[in-house]
Amino acid sequence: MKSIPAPADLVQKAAAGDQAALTSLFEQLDPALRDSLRNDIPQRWRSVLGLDDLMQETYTDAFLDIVDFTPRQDGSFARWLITIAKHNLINAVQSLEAEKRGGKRRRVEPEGQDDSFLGLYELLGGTTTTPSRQAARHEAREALEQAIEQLPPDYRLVVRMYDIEGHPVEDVSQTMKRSPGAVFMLRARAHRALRKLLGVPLKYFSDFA
Amino acid sequence: MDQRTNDSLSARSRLELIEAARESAGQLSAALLGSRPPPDLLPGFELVRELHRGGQGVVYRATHKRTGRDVAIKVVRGGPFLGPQDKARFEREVHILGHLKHSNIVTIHDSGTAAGCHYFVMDYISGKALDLHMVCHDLSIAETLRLFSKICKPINAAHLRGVIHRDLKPSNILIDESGEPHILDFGLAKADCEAISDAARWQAITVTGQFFGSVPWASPEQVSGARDQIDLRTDVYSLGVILYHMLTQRFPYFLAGSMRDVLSNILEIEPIRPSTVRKDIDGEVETIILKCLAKEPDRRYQSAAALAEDINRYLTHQPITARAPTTVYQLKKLVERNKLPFAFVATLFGLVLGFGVWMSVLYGRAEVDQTRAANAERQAEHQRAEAVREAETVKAINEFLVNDLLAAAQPEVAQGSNITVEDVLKSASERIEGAFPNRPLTEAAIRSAIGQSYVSLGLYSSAEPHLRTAQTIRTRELGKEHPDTLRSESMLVDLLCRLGQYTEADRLSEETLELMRDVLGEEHIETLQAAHQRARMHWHAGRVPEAERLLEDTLERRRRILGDQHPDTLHSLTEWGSITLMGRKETAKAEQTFREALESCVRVLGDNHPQTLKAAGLVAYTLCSQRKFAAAEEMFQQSLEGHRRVLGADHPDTLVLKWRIAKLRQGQARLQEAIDLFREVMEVGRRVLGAEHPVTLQALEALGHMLLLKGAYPEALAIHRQTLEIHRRRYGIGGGATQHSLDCLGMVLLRLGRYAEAEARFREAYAIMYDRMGNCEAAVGSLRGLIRALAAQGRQEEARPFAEELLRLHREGAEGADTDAYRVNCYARALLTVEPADLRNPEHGLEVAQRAFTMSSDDYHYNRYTLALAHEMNGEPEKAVAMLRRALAHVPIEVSEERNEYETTLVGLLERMGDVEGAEQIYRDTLAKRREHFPEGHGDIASSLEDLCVTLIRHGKHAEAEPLLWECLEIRQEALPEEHWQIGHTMSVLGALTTGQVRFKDAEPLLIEGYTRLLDSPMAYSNQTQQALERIESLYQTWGDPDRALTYREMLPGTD
Repeated sequence: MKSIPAPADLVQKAAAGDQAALTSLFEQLDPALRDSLRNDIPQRWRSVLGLDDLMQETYTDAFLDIVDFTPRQDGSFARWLITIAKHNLINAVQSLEAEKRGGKRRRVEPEGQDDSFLGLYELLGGTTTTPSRQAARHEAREALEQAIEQLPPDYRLVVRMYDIEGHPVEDVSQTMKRSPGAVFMLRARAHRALRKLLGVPLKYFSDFA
Repeated sequence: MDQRTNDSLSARSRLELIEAARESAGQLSAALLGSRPPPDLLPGFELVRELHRGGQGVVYRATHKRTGRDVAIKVVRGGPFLGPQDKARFEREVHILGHLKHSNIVTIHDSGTAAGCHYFVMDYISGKALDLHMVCHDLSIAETLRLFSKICKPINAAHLRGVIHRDLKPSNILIDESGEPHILDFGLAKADCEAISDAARWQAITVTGQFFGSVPWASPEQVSGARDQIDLRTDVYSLGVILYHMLTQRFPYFLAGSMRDVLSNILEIEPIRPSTVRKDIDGEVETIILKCLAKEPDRRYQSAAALAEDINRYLTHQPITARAPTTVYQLKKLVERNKLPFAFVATLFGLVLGFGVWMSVLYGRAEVDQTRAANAERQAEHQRAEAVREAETVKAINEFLVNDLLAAAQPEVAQGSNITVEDVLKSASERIEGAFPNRPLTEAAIRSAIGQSYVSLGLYSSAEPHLRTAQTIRTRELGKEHPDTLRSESMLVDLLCRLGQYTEADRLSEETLELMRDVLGEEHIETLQAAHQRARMHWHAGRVPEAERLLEDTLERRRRILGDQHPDTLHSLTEWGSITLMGRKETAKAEQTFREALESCVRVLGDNHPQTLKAAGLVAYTLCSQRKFAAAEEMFQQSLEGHRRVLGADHPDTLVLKWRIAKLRQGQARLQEAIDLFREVMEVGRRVLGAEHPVTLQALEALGHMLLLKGAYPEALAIHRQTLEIHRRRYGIGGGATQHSLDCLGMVLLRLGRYAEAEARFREAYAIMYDRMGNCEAAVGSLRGLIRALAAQGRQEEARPFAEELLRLHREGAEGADTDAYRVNCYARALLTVEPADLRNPEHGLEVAQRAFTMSSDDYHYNRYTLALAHEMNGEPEKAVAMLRRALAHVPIEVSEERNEYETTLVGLLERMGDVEGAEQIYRDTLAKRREHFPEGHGDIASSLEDLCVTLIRHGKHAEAEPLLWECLEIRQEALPEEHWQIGHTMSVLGALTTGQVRFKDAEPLLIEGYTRLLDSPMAYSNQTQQALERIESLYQTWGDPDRALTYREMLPGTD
């Protein structure tokens, strides 16, 4: 990975939570980051997955995760951003590939919405210790519905439309006015958010606390 | 749909995009903040922030209110609704962590329940999860392995206490600020003792088919629900996935698709080879990882300690156990690593013990398997029998190693002397004869090992009997097609090639490759090695297109199968650069290729590996070929230092490097240093490799060329005749070496004026080159020589087709993408000097010469000389003179060949311009410089004296010339053997001088003796002999004796 230097003072400020510094860093590094990532988007997906989509999702993640970043040697900030971008890209491309292969392989067949919720819950990595699948379905739905409600609107929309209601990505894309690639990146982040929300004991069961 | 595919944004749009991201992040952040528990949820602690979320709960950083100490608190998800199974797991983790005391396992201090929430309090480790640590730190492979080895230690400590983690993954491994790992989350851990004593309880927790743990890191036995198979090797598997991920940032399997697909991949699909994901992962690291990831626990490392040990062995360049520990491999490693004899001996003892341990593991495993499963009884029995047989073999080998191989190192034998690896091998060689009367295959294995060790040391002839015997034994005992026999043959081919025994190597390599393809398959690693050897044999035998095709094919296959960074691939790459690119004189491309190979070698093999040193030498050689002497010098010196240190001064690879450095000295016009170095290589080569070894012959040939440059033609002639005879006898006609010898010999014959003989040599050389590669740049030397030989005999028309071909080749060389000043200059020179003369194009020649001149450095006198020729031929004599003077200024005084040529041209030009004094001054200056530079009586002073005298005679200054010429004759009579042609030549010139002074009686004996001496010397039929004859004819003509004059004229060649 080619080293892209960033002003050390801005990086320090950004890492300390200064959003203006972070914004300024993104502005400065944007052209070099684009150069570095431009060729990573597979040719066949460029019509549905633009570099802007990738950059926007990457910056969103970076705003959220900057607290975890520790400035190291020169170029570490750009490497960190590029790593985030590549994760986003992989998520999007895998989803697009899966979509092309069989449409809904990565999501649960929505025989009923309970099944959809349970499927999504399992897809998110949830394991249930209850022996009854019926109970699990019920619990999962409740937990998920609460968590989905806490999501920001865009995330909520993509999860509802794609994972729960089973709309094709083209429909979601049209509704959200985003490219299919961006939809999948958004969905990946929405899933991460859901995992976080579902992992909180105080919220998992509503009657706790 | 708003498809924003345009990626060139204005600053404003860029800011809008970033603002949108910021807004989106803000929304999400706000949504998640609401989920944080109240800070005073747990009595006595203040929650500071969330650290980690896992399947079983959330970990918070907290402060112990009373002591102010930072702690980590894990709150189990589920709160009051926690089922009995979850509670049991929670209690188990508290119990296990409470009993595990290790500095790299987080310690538990307290546990309890608050507000229905189960929690326990642990050490707070300030650090990052392993995956994040890897992203934030650019660790090299070695650094990663060192860190990983540390991770294995606490896991092993847990195993020793009967605890299996079962949920190892990067997020459960924290790396603190000092780089120390800390293992977390024993929530899924299984204590063996409990599992045995409380099986029913265990079953309640792990309902068959229900999965605990994190899928990507889970072992096949975990995902298949085979709980009875979960043991410490399950953790070894997860460690393997972790190491894979640390090194590649990927998983060993494709994880997209449904859960069923993912589980099926883990159960059934072989891991993606890590070297295909990250090219600089070498074969040994890959072997270690893949051993961890074996589907069957029996094939994995049997403990985290064994895994850590292998990692450490790799890091310290010891043989890893993951690879089948063949004696060849072990000994090769030993020889590579051990420079000190005592270290060698100590490690060898380790090897002996290692064999014992390894075999006892095999043996013990067979026992365990036998009792474990009845249906595996037959397999276990087989394994047991195999182990017993192997153990017996190893025992025999061990006894030999201890009693015989190491005998030389025992104090009573060594008696204080410095025992070397070579001594130990020599001792073993003497003792192996008859040591294994009933174990021929053991003998073969040991002989192979000894042979390979000798090869590593560069002692090829010592290796030969061992490798030949090993091959014979294996052929007899195992049959021709057995893989071990084929391996033996492959080793033998390699050795024969190193010994320069190309004819036998050629035959054997063909046979071996064919059998390997049938028996092992086209793409087996050893088949590819055999193909590589075969390509080399093609090249030695002059089958260049076949060599190039096979090399390219092997390189492509190795790249695909082994990856770009595998040592075998790098070997193919350097060979391709040496044979194909250097053979085609694509030097710049070759330099780039060798540089890439060097970079990879350093990364993969380290600075001191012989392959790395070789690659550095090749880069330097390409720099030298491009006349980048300063860069070449630096690189050569580094490589030479490494060669001496790692391989020793007499190793064949060191000799090859010295030969290349001598070529550099030649390029730098440091002729005497070049000669000394070539002589050294030749002498060491004779002693170590034999008088007829290719390395020795190459040095001898280069020495001949140096003598040619110094004007010592007869000595050069003798050397080139000798090397040609050896090349023809040993390697047959048609070899590249033979062609080169012919070219060298032709060159000397040209200088001696023996044009017909030169023509025959060049014709033969050109025919060989044409058969090997067709018309190509490598053939220009032979072509140029042939044209000059034909033209000198007045057969310009015969030279025409060759001259046209030469011009075409030079034009292509000059206009190609890979062109350089040398190529452009060659084209210019051909345009100006080619025969027949009507093919010359002085105008275009001037343009091209000017181009070459601008491309070259200041001290590149060849281009100046070409430009001078061009100016002269375009009617610009003043410019030509100026350029020639500048060219001469850059030719070192000891370089006779070019200096003479430039001086002759300059003097001729000045004379034509009427500047007689100027012409004489050229030689006067050189004479003065040589008197200053060389000791009294040096041959080059005599040459200068002669040049000046010939000019003075031409200008009628006989009186001035005479004492100088006598001085010249005196020097030559003093310094040269009596029969040397130069003495005869000087006498003849002196006779001409006295003829000019009308002292016929003085002239006659000088001229006759001079001629007779020339006639008796190896210079017969040379241009000097003809000139001597002409001078006698002239004497008698002038003296008024036309009959005698006619007699001598009739003796001239071409006179009927």
